[in-house]
Amino acid sequence: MLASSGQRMIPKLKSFTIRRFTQPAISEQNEYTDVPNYPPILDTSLQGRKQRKRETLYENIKALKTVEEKQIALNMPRYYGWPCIMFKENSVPYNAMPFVQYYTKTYFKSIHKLPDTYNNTSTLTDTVLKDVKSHIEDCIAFENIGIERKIEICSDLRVEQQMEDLKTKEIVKQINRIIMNNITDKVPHILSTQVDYEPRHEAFWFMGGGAVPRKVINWRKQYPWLRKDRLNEAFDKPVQYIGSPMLTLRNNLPLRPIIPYNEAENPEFKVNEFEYVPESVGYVLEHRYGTNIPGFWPGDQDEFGLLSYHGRGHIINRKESFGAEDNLEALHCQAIKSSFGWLLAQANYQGFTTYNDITYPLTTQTVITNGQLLSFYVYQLNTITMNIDAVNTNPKHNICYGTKPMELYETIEDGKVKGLNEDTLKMLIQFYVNAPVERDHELKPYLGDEEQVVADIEEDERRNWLEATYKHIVSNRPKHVLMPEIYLWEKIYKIQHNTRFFEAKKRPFELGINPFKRRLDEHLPPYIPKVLRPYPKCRKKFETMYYPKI
Amino acid sequence: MSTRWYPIYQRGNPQLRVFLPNFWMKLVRPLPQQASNIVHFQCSMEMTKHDIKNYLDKIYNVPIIDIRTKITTGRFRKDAGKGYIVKDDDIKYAMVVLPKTMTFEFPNIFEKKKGDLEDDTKSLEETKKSFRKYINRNKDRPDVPSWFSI
Amino acid sequence: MKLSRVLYRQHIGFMFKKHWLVQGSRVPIDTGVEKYLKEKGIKVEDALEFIKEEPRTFDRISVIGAYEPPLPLNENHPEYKERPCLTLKSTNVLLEGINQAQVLTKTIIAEDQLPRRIEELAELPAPKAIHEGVKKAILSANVFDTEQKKLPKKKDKERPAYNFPRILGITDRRRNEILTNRLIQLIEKSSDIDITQNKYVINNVEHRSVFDKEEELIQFQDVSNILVTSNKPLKHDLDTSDVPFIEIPDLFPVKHTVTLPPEHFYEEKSRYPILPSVLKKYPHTTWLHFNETEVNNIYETPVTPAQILGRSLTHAFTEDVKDLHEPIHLNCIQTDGKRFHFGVFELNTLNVDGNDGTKNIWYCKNDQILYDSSRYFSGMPSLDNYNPKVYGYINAFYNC
Repeated sequence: MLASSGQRMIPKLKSFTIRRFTQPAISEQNEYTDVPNYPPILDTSLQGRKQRKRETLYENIKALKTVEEKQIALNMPRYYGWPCIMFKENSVPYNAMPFVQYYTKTYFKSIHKLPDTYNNTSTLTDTVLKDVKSHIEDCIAFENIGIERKIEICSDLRVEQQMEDLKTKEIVKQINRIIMNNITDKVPHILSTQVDYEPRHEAFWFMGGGAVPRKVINWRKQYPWLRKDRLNEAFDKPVQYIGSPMLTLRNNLPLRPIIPYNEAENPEFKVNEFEYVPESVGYVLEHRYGTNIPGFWPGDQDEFGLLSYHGRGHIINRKESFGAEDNLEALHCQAIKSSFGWLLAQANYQGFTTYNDITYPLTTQTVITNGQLLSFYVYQLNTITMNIDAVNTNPKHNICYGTKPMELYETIEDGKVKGLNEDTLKMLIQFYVNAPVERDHELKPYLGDEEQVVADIEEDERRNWLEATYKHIVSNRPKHVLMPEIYLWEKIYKIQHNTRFFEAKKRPFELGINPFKRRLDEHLPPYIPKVLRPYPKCRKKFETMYYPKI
Repeated sequence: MSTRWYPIYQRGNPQLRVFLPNFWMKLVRPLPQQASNIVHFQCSMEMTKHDIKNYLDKIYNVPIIDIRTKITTGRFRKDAGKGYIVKDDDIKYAMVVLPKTMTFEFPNIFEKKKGDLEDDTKSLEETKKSFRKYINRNKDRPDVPSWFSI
Repeated sequence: MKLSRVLYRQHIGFMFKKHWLVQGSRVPIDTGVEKYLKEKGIKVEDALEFIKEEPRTFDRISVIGAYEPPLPLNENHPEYKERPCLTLKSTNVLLEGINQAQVLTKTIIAEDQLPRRIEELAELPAPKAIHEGVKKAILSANVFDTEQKKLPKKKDKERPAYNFPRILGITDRRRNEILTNRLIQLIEKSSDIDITQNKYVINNVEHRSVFDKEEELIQFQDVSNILVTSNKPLKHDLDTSDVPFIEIPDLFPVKHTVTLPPEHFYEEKSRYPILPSVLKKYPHTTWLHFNETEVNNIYETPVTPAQILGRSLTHAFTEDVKDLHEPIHLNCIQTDGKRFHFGVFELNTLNVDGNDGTKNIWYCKNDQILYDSSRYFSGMPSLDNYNPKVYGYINAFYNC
């Protein structure tokens, strides 16, 4: 036995010895250089190591080739999703402006007329205005008094709010129809523009600044190494925007920026830090996967938004005590949230994420209306990174220009619209006439050349798997198995008071495991039943999973 | 304090007037990281948001924008003598939002005066001194109770 | 051991019940106290004397509640009528489909025949950009829209009890809304501005028509998913000679009102949603969606193609009911997102009794398929066999 194994060893040994002699010959030229070439000195402190780890994550996500994979990658660290701060489009609590501005890094500027870039189309606007005016008057009168509609009211919202939003929706559809039909011949981009009714807008990002929640501080207090100097260490707070405009227009080309990109670093646009927790304003957390959806799935050609209409029915729902001034701010907040959310989702479809900043500005136009009052907003997205590594070092800020609500008409008397405000209508037409232009730089620098969306992937299995997983994650459907939970009796009798020391320790908190730290891919792959395995013999019991490697 | 059982309010009835209800509110120190226009109260469990608003508005003329309430679970603790676990009462908190131009600062109730600290150290020193004297006196006679002296 | 003892141990309610029974049949034991007290001269009173009085009764309070409750649907309801009205709603279909619809509306059908002007307009070629737009519309309705709602349950006939994972996706209602609205937007963008300016496009309007037929009151309640109205009534030049009409069939043994459930709460007047003072009030084209999940037979059988066609006809009839001086025309397009049924209705009479006299005419061209399939096929968006002819018809219907 011994002899035979010795014999077997010999050829192996031989090869090993031979290789040892041949090795230096290859590396001889590279080993010495004229100038000493030291490896970079790395920061070996805990903070430094952590930062390096984060940076590799950012680079890994940047290197992923398709949009969908990047979106899955954002959710990779959490099997049960992120506890997100929920930005809902149509609910704004009292005094939310500083909070919303800081969490979207947006500088707000109140204006009375649209920025200068809109002025070069004024002659065209005037002709369109003349053509359209009487028809707009007609349709407003028609929608208000000329038609009896059956109104379907659902019980979970206030009736007045629903009524107003329903009416507004119809008026917006009519106005959009009239203006679009009129200018199709005059401006070329309108023909290829897609109109969406009530699309689904969602956006997800990480915010590194702001206060550390009480709960986290209390948790840190129990460990001496954290208690000493890391009590208030910043961490990334996930934020999720959800909204649904009444109507949006989108095109395959982006709009022109309003101000040059390098202006975005102007210190004038700096936004004050919001030092309090989101709960103190009235924003709440919800556990869910982060999703970025600008109203269509990746692969649609018309990826850039031009214009979106939002309702302002939620203003009716606000308390009277909030006052008119805060209602105005609420409109601004709504515009900032929705514009930022939509643009961020669009940027995500261009291959940028909350970790990899955009390389060019994006612009959108937003109208908030109730059929009579219109407020106009122009938003330029300059930066989308505000995680802990960028929030204090990134000098760029987003900019939002907005007007006060302006009357489209005064009243409706005997079936006729009285006092149509031409300036308001003109602004609206200016939004439509503002044509998107081709950019002279690359739009998708962080996506692959051939593979930009999952549908471009050659390998069938991988494509199908990624497609299904992506749709599953963004649907945020309820999980089949309930989320882990510490029951109250356990908290009382096991955690707070050690009264059941004699029991076997089996629960995660007794084993020192945080189940919410579970990664998305930490699960058994789907089992392949024996009958479905390839004939004649296949040892592969489980299906392959194609989670992005980050 | 009232122990009366009030009739259920029905639509169309005259407004119910309750005199001396079991309502109380206690101003507490707000949690840190809260905006400066938010005031925290503990209040009686029966109070609704409307009650809280009326209480502060009608009695103290406090301008109120919004009220958020929450009920927190009472602490669980070991009973001092028996060792079993008992639970304290739940507490209803009211977070009252004032207009954003106003700020609230929790008053420093037990304010230290200028001489307070010196007085405290002085009395502490005296106590220490007398204790040392006592030890000194008894150092030669261990195992003898303290009352055994002339 | 008796079984009841085990039961008592297991079930406390059972134990109590039995305990009450046992305790209730107890006979009081004579302890001799009464006799002893009598000896001592103390008077003993019967306890039952004290509970002789009737217990005090309280008036019941009727709780009004915080809001006005809806009126109960009974004889006292203001809309209650003695005479039942046989109602066809947009979520119901006729049992005999197109044949029954013919009888109900007294209509003869010209199958595969549309007015000549429409046929001519439909032949006109559309520019390539327009067809690209239609393809985009189909793709966004079937593939790129981001709605993720529960779709109907999937069932396997071989193993009906097996539960498949519920699929989330674009619902039929949303798909149809997107597709039809996109199509009409495209047509309007490519049409002359003078034509579009004289029209309104309205979404989801409800109208109802009530009429008598052979001494029965019949009501059609319908929703027009898109209603195109114009400033003057629609007029077609129709040549009724040499058209092979399908005459009104005999439904025997089925009665023509079968599957029209009687309703006692209704309004007696027909209703058209647009007020007469509006300039562009004349209905021009009405679009009807067929949403598989919403339209059903009342007897739970699947909806047949003939029933779908019947829907178009009754729908067009509902749209049309008005005062009659000369024939009224109306275009109707029904779609389930893939299949398009085109029809033009000529209303000649409102007297629908019997089978003789003037009749209404329904010109139709059915089952025009816009595309074979459009979906995520193996992870890739796909659109198979796009049929450009359908767009021609839709465009012709709008422009005629």
